[in-house]
Amino acid sequence: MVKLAAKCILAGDPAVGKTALAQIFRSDGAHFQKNYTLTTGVDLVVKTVPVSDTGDSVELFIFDSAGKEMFSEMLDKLGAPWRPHSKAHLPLPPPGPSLGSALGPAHAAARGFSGSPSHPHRIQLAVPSKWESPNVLCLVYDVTNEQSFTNCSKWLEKARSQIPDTSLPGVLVGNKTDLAGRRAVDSARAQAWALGQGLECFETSVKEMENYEAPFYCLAKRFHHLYWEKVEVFQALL
Amino acid sequence: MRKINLCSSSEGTEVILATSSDEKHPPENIIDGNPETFWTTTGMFPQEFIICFHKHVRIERLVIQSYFVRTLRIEKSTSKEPIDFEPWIERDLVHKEGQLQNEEIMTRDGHATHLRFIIISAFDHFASVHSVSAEGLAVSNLS
Ligand SMILES: Nc1nc2c(ncn2[C@@H]2O[C@H](COP(=O)(O)OP(=O)(O)O)[C@@H](O)[C@H]2O)c(=O)[nH]1
Ligand SMILES: [Mg+2]
Repeated sequence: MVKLAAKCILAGDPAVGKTALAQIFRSDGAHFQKNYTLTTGVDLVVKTVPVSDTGDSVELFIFDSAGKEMFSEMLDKLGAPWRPHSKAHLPLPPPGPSLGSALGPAHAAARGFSGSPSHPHRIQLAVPSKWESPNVLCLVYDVTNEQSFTNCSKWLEKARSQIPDTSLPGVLVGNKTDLAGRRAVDSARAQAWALGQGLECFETSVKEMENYEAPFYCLAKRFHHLYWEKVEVFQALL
Repeated sequence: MRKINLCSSSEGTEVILATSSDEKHPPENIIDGNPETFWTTTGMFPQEFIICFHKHVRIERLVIQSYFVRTLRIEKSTSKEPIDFEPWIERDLVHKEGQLQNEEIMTRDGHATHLRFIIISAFDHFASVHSVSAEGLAVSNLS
């Protein structure tokens, strides 16, 4: 039995439902907030996900995008070595016992996250390194917004450029399927693109609480798979 | 006094803390004298482990065998307890595909009771440590 820990970054255009997705996953579908205000800092949701058919689990540290993070800002960073700089304009984190664990997850693994490793937490904090060293990627677009889908390739590129020589398991999530009449991106098209990028493809409606867990379970499974691949590499060294 | 491998479980040395643990690849594997067995990290970096000698030692040479480790920091303590660690060594390791990293360090000022190894970053999502050996002298028992 092993418990892995993975940093998951949520990427995608503003207003596609990233925060809604992370929050509904955190709260197990208990509520959907209609008028969600844009996030101002970096939101961290920590939740342990079991990996089916194994006794193993993956603790996902889900880093939500800051609300102000815009596509234009992102383009400036591409090409140049990207340095996290958000510390300066983010609010200071409230002092709290969880903070240390969130920033140094290694410690969480050693002793359990704040003493209750299985309990999901939500903490607001300023993390200078939201994009730094991701383990898995959750790429979200809005099925009623064509642009949010086409921008996915840029978000993907940004995420991958953080760990250029390492594979980054990822999922593509088309959200807001409840707005069927306004759909602008059909499933087949999204699927074809995702396939070409090695991403697994999902459609969700956070509002209808549909399929919101599957992307995270998939990420946990793929990270777990990666772990076993690496262990085999370590084993074969001698 | 003869030079011995101080980082050996047969000398009474122990790994008293590790931030990751897969029970199939436990931290004890680092000091079991067998480079085929290893400890794996299981998540985000930094990751660390602490070796306790249960005596005062003077280390002259360290050899670390690992894979995918990028930046390694080593701190040491001369206290009875695993506290008051001071910076000692920091290294950027090279990665060669399929080849165990074999980092040899001639050390200065090697008085210690504990060593703390911090893997600051790695070349992949996971890293392994196969063995740590420390050549030197056992100086005295803890009083
Ligand atoms: N109809 C519908 N609206 C959604 C859904 N998910 C999120 N929203 C709404 O979309 C808006 C933006 O959501 P938010 O989570 O803040 O997006 P973010 O900027 O990507 O984090 C909010 O008004 C949400 O209520 C969904 O599945 N269906
Ligand atoms: Mg948001």
